[in-house]
Amino acid sequence: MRIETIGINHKTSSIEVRDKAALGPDRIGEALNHLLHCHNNEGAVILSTCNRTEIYLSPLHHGSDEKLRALLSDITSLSAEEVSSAYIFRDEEALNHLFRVSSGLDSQLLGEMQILAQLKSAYHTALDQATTNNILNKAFLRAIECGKEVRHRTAISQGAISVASAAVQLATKIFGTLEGHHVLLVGAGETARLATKYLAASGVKDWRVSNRTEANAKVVADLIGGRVTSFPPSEDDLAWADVVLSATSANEPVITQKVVKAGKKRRRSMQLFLDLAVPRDVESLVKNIGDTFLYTVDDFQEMVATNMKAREREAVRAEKIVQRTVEEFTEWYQENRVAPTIRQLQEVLESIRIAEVDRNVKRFKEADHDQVDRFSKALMRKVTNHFVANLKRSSLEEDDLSIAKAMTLALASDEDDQVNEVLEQLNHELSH
Amino acid sequence: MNLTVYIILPVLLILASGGLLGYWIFLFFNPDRKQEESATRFGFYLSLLFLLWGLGVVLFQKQAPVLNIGQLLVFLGVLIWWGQTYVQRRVRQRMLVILPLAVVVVLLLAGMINGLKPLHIPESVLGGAATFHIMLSMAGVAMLLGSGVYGAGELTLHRQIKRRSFGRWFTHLPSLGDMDKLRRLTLFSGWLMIIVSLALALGGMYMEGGANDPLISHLHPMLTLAGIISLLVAADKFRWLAQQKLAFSSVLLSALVLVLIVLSVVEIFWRNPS
Repeated sequence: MRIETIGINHKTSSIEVRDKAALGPDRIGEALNHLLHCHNNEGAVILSTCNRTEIYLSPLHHGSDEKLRALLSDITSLSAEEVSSAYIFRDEEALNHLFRVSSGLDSQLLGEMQILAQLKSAYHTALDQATTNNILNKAFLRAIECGKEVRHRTAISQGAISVASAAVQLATKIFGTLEGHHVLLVGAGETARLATKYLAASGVKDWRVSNRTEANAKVVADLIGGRVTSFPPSEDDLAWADVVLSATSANEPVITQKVVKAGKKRRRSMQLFLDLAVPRDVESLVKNIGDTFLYTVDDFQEMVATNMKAREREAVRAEKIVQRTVEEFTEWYQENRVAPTIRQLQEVLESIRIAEVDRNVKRFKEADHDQVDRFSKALMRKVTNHFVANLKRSSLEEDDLSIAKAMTLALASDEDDQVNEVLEQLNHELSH
Repeated sequence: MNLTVYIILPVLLILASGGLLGYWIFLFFNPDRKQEESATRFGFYLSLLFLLWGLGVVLFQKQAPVLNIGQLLVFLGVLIWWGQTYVQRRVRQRMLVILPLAVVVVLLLAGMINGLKPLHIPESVLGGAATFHIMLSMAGVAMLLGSGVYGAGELTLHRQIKRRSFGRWFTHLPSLGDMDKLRRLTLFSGWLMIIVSLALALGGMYMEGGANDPLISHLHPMLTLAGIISLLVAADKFRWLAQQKLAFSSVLLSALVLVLIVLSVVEIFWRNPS
């Protein structure tokens, strides 16, 4: 099929090796041109992310594994030993791998969305550098479609798979949108800051920050546009907050059931406590208060595990979509091999048709000229379709290009320059 | 025409609704966003088919489809489905479609079994004011039943979140906030419709200078209902109760509405058929 890939990812290599192999945008253009010029390649695309570096090639002839490893080593400066663990796929296997990558099935976090954007970006870079060919164009466009289809038709990307995103998923499941809701942040450490990023991205704008060291609270408050409040948070703060996110390093709970109950008397709507601290910041009795939800790190880990299991179940359905896409692509490819012959056939028949119509049209009344033209076109279409169907069938079902070759020769005229080109392509395919 | 309006179209409606219900149940176990969009679109066409039936009945019998129990049941199903279609366009409620759709299918079947062709039309349902009163009451009832569905959804999701159960219901139900908004919207609209409808009926009776027995006995449960709804609406408006308790009250209310509406309908059509 003339497509092959070599690469390393999180399954084959350590993070150090992956870092070393990663190609920044400034180096990819040069690497692509190198690939196109120093090997028997017609096309090249490089996909380089923090978790994988992969080269997709469309060669005239498949090279040996050693040559491919040398190529990867050349452009990434990995040692021979480091590239020895690289995986190599050819033809259908390469396509299957590409479609699995775009679908998030090969990602470290199963079903993650980012890889699809990264794949698109890699393809567009190759397009800008003019290093793609017909096969790679089709393969990458199908990969992007396949990635989208998998995400639309399965729930593989649904459900949070990190503690911070699970906290936001829970908050949105309770409140719908987080826009217009109040968040009280207790603690100003790394965990609290990370969680605020996710919440801010979900539309939270009203913040209060409570921290033992007020200066740190002020830094975080300035960062997120909130205001500093007392530590531990007061009844008033707890009555105000819809979501309380706590992540301090205190050894004793900083939010007690008594204070929450007191705050609760002044509010009727639901309240969510996200306790991301170990040991816990919020007294466990808080969960018994009506319309109050208390979630801890353990709960979120359970949520993440459940979501992962659900994604794994969906992966089975996603694999079927990938498999079907590979089959469709293979079918397209088999048909595409005879496309030059079909074009040649159409051109020859069309020129004959035009010549014959021009020669005989005077025999008919002027009013009938249109009808003659339509009739001749319909006739030629019937003849062409008959040949095209047989050509495609021989290529697709019997993997036989000899009929296409014979037809190309039969259709060739003395002054036809294109015929050599078509024959060369067919010979090339036959050699595969 | 007789056959089309009372048999063919209703059978088509049952088949289409049943098919759509099966489709949504299939999607519950095999989530697929593209197919969900198709199912939603199909639901919209179904609501148009309902409209066609409604128009057909009105044109044919020169009366709204409220002349016997069968028509009332189907009309209630139509209203529930229209309300559901409207909400579906505003909030992606996905699997919450199954419950109202099942109710619609049951109502359509019950309506067909009871017969749609009116044989004995009670005098109390004839006339423009009576028709308007009945239609508005039915719309109000549909709204209140909707608030019960959203209340039940809220209670289910609340329970799932408290129990740390992150299964299908957790994934497929809309958020608690969205369901609460919808529950309140349907409750307030239902209350308004029932109150206006009752005011019209009472006004009409006052204008006539008296009332016959069947109407008064029919009004008793309706007045009780209006009182209970008003109390619940006030509790919701002023947040006298916690959200979970309000949701529970909505579920109880919709159950009560069903009982009272059955009593009312029985009163009008069976005890006083003419």
